[in-house]
Amino acid sequence: MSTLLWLSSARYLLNRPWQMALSVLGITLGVAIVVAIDLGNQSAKRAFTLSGDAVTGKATHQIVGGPGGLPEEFFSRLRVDLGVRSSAPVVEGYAQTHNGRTLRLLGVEPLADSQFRPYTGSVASVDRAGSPATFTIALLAAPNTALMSVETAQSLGLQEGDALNVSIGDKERVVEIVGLIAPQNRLSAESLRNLLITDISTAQELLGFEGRLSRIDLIIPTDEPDAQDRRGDLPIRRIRAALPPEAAILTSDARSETIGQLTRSFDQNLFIVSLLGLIIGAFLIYNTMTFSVVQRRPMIGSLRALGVTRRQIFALVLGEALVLGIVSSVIGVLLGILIGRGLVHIITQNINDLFFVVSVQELAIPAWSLAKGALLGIAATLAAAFVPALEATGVPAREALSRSHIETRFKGAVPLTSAIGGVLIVVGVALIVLPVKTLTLTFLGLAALIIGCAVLTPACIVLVSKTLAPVLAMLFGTMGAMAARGIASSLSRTAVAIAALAVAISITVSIDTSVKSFRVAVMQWLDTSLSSDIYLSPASLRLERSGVGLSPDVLRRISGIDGVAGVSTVRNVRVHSPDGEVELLAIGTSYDRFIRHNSLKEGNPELVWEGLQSGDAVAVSEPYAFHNDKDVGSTVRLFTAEGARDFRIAGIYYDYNHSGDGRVMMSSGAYQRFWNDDNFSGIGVTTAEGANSNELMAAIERAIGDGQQVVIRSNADLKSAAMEVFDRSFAITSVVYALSIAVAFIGVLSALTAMQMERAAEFGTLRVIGFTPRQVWLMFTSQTALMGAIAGLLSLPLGLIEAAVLIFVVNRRSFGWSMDMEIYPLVLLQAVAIAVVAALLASVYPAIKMSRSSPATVMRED
Amino acid sequence: MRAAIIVISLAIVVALLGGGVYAIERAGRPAEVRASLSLSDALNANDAGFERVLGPRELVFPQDHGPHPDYALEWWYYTGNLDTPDGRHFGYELTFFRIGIAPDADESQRSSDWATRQMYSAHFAVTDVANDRFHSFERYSRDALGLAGAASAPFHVWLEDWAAQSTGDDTLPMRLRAKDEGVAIDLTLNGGKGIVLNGDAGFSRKGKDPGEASYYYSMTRLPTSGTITLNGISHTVSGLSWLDREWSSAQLPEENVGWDWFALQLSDGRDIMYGVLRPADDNRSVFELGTIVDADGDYKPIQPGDVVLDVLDEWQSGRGGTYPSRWRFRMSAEGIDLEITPYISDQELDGVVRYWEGAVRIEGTTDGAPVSGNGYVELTGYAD
Repeated sequence: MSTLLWLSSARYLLNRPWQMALSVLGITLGVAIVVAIDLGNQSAKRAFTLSGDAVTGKATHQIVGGPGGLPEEFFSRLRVDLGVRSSAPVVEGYAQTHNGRTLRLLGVEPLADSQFRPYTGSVASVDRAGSPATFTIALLAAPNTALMSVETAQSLGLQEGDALNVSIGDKERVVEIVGLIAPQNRLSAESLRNLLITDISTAQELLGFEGRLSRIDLIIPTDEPDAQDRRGDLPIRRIRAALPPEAAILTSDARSETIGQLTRSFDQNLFIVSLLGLIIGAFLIYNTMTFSVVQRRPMIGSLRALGVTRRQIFALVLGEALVLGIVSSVIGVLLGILIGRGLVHIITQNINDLFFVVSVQELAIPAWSLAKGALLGIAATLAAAFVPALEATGVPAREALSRSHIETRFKGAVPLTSAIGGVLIVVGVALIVLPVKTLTLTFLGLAALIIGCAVLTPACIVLVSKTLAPVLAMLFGTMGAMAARGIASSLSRTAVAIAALAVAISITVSIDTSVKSFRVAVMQWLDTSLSSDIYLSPASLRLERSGVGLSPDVLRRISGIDGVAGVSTVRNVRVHSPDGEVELLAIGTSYDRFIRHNSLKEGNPELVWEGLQSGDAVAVSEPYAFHNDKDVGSTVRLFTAEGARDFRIAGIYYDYNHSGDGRVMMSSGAYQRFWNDDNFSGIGVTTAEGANSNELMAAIERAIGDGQQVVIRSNADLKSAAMEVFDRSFAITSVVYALSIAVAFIGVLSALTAMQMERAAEFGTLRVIGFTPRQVWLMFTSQTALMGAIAGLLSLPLGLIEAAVLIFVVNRRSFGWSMDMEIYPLVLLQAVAIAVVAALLASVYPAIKMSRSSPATVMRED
Repeated sequence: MRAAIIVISLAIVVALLGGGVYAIERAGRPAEVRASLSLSDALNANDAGFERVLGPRELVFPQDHGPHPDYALEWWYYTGNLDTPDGRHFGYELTFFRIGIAPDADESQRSSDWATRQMYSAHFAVTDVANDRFHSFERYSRDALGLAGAASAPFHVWLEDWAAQSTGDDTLPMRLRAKDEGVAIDLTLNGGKGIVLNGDAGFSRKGKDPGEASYYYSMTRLPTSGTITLNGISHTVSGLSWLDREWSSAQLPEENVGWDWFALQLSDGRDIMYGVLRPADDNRSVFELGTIVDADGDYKPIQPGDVVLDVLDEWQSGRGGTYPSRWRFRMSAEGIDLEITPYISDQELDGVVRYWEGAVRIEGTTDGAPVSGNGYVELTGYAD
C-alpha cells in the first residue's frame, strides 16, 4: 500500500515537471543566497585570519607603540637586558606596484623570526643554486632586497634577481627580488600572497621608519603569563614595567579581535539580508506545497475512501516536501558555492576599500556553511509543508468537498488569521524596538513582522477586490467585475501566491530604499565635511592609516604658492587605548572653517573648537559614541607618548566613514604634541578668490616635484572617488537585490502558473456558457495582472516598514549610524511593475493552453 | 519504502557534504614549514671579498683577542670541566661565532641601524654527569644595536645576554655568563699558562692549498670558579677551562667530511691539542695538527704520525649517525698512553649544524706512571 502511495505521489510530481522545477528553483535560490553570502563572509574572514596569521605568525603577544611605532632600542633592551628570547621585531607597511597592486611590506629580522613566521627562515627556493641560508644572508647583507612567494612573483611577471619598482608613501623605490619562497601547500601560498618580505633594515629605509619598529612580536606561554616559565622568559609584568610610555602589550587575540570588530557589523548586515532571501524561499515552498495539496484534493479523497489513513496522507505530503527540500537544498548549496565564488571578490574588495589590504581572494568552503544552508533549506521546506500536510488530512474520505465549501471555510477563517497576523506584527515590532545591541532578536522580530503581514494578505485581498469590483465593472463591464471578484472567490489559492509575491517584492523595496537613503546621507555628509577645493594624499591613502604619509615638507612647499588661500590638514592613524586600538583623526584647520564645515551632531561648535585647540578635549564620531556608550562630557583614555591620558568628549559628529568602532577627533596641534608625529594623511587646499583651480593644481604638482608620489585631486574628484567606494561596498547588496528579485519573479511565475493551470476548468465553464476564447483569455490575463498589482501594492507598505527597520534599527545597531529615510516613488513604481510583469508572464502558458483546449475536454476533466 | 527513500536521500546529502569536507580539510591541512637556516651553508657561502690566511703574521695582544671583521669566520671557543666541592662533575661549552656576511658592504651608506656586515652565533651547553643529562642551546643575532658583538680592550664578546667579558682592564680574569631555559653558568676564568700559538706561530694549516689555513691560538689551562645553575639550583664549581681562538676565510677543504678534535688537560700539568681532518675518501691520509704544552707553558707542535689514535667504542645517535665514543690515545715519543672516555655518551648539539662536543675523562700512564685528567672532544661530520 505505502509503495503504491509513494508511486502515486511520484507520478503526480513527475507529471508536472515545470511546476516542480519552478518550486525547486525557488527553494534552490533561497538556499543559494544564504550559502553564497555565508561562504563569501567566511572566505573574507578566513582571508583576514590568514593574512593576519602570515604577519602575526605564532606570536601570542605584541608590543605596539603609537603611530610612530616603538623606539628600536627597546628590542635590544628586551633581548640583552631582560633576556626575552622569544621576541621578534617587525617593521610593516605597504608598497604599490606600478600596475596598481598593493603589496604588504613585512620587514623582519630573519635570525630572530623563524620561530614566529617559519617561512622567513626556511626560504625554500625554486632556484636549486640557492639555499635558505644564502637568501637569509642576501637579505641581511644587501639593502633593498626582498623575498616573495613564487606565485606572487609569477603574477607580477618577476623572476629571482629581477628588480621591482614600487611606490611607498610619496617615494619611488626599487627592490631586488633575491629569492622566491616556494610554499609547501595551498594554505601557506594564500597567506604569502602579495607579501613582500625584507630585512628589517631595508624595511626601515624603504618606509622612512629608521630608528623605529612597527611592533615587537612575543611568544609567551599563555597558561601562565605571569609566572616564570621554564623557557626562562621573564614575566609579562616585567616587560610591561620596562615599556616606553606610548607602548602597550596586547595579546594577539586582542589584535585579531580588533579585526573582528571591524568586520562584525558587516557580517551581521549580510546575514540579515541572506536570511531575508531564505524567507522568500520558504514562502515559495509553502505556496508550492499548498497547491500540490489543493490540486490533489479529489485524489486524496479517493485515497482516503480506499482506506489510506490520515497519518499516511500527512506523511505522504511531508515526505514529498522532504524529497523536494533535499533535492533543492543540495542544488542550492552547489549553486551557492558558484555564486559565493563571485561574491568573495566583491566582499574582499569591500574590505580592501574600507579597512586594509586582504591578500586572499580564494573561496573557503567550510563544511558548516554548506550544512547550515542545506539544513535551513530542508527545515524551511518541512515547516512550509506542515500546514498543507495538515490540510490534506482534513480531506474527507469521499469525493472532495465542493470548491465553494472550501472557499467558504477559508474565508470564514480570515478574521482569525488576521487576528493572528496582528498579534505577530505586534510581537515583531516589540522585538525590533527592544533596546539591545544584538541583531538576532531584531531578525526574529523582522521575520514575525513579515509573516504577520503575509497572514493579513487574505483580508487585504477581500478588501481590495470588493473595492475594485465596482470600479472595474464600470471600466470593463461584467468581465472586469468577474475578474476582481474571482480573486476573492478563490481566496485559498490566490492569497498564498499574492502573499509570497508581496513578501519577495517588499524585500527589493526595502533594500533599494535603504541603500538610496544611505547614499543621500553620505553625499550630504561629504558636502559638509569636504570643504577644500583641492586635496593632496599619498599614492595610496586608504593604506596609510598608520605609518608613512605626506611629510611636513610637502605642506611647506604648497603653502607659499600663489593662489592658495588656505590649507587644512588631516592625520588618520590608529592609536592604543586600554580597550584596544582606536582610530584617531587629527585635523588642522582654521576657526572659521571649523565653524562653517563641521558635521557636529551634539556639542556647541565654538566650545568644541576651544576644547580641541586646548588639547584636553576630543570630539568622537557617532559610531564611536554608540559602540562605546559615550556621551558629551565622558572621557576617552588613550596611550600617548607621555603615557596614558584622559580626554574629555566635547562633541559628537556624524561620520559615515566605516572605521569599525568609530573615530576620535582631535586637533592636529594636540596630536603632534602627544604622539610626536608630524606627517599628514591628507592636505586640503582652498583656492584664493579668482584663482583657477586647474592652474593651481598644476602649480602644486610642480612645487612638489617628480620624486614624490602625491595624488592631487579636485573636490569633485575626491567626492566621486568616495562615492565609488561607497557604491562598491554596496555591490554585494545589489547582488542580493538582484537575487531576491529573481527569486520573487520565479516564485510568482511558479505560483501563478500552477494556480491558473488548476483553475483552467473554471474558465472552461465560461467557454461553455458562451465566452469567446479571446474574452476568456482577456479575462484570465487581466485577473492575473490584477493579482500581480495587488501583490505589488501590498509589498509597498511592507517594504517600507522593512526599510525603516534596516535604516533605523539594523544600521544603527551594527554601524552606529543615524540617517533619515527617504521614500523614492520610482522604487515603489518599479516594485509594482515587477509584480505585474511577473504575473503577466505567468499567465502566458496557461492562457495558451486554455485557449487551445476545447471546452468539452476541460469540463470532462473536471 | 518510505524510510528507504529518506535514508537514501539523506545518505546522498551526507556523502556530498562529507566528500566536500574531506577534500577541503585535506587541502587546508597546514604543513609544517621547516626552519633550516644552515650554518654550514652560511660558512660555505662565497668567501670572495674576505681576507685570506696565506702565511704567518705576528699576533698582537690584546688586539687579536678582539674581532677580525675582514675574515669570513671567527670563533671564541670556551670549554671546561668543573666539579662541586662534593665531587659532582659538570662540563660546559660556550662558543661565540662571528660570521661575515657582507665583506664589501659599507654600513655608513645605510640609514638603518640594523644594517650590518656580520652576524653572530653562539652555542651554550652544560653536561650534567650526575643526571646523565646534556643541555644545549643555540642563538643567532646580527651585529647591530648592541645585540651582539666583540671588542678587544677591554675584552668583550656577547650575543644578547650570553657574554664573555674581562672583569678589569686586563684580558684576564674574565667572566662568562649564559643562561637559557633554567640552565645557567656564571664563571670567572683566571690567568693560567698564557697564550699558545698553534701551528707556525699561530698560522695553522688545514689543508695543502694556500688559503686552507687559519690563525689559531689557545689558552689551554684557565683556572675557573663560579656557579652552574640547573632548574633554579645553583652549584658552586671550580676546575679548568680552555679557550680556542681561530679566524680565517677558508672553507673546510672539500675532500674532508669533518674533524675529530681533542683538548686534553692532564694531571701531570701537560695539555694536548690534537685534531684530525677526515677525508671523504678512506684511502686518503688524514690531515693532522696539534700542539703539546708542558706544565710550564712551553709548547711545540705535534708532527704528523706522532699520535696513534684507536677508536674503542661507538655511540649511535638517536638523531641519526654513529660517532666514535672511546679512544686509546698514544704518543710514544712523549711516553703517553691514554684512554679517553666521554662522561656521558650523548653530548650531541642538535642545532642548525649537528655535532658532538663533550666533556671526557682521561685515564692512563705517562712513562709508566698513572695519569688522569679531563678534556673536551669535538666530532663533526658524523651526523646523517
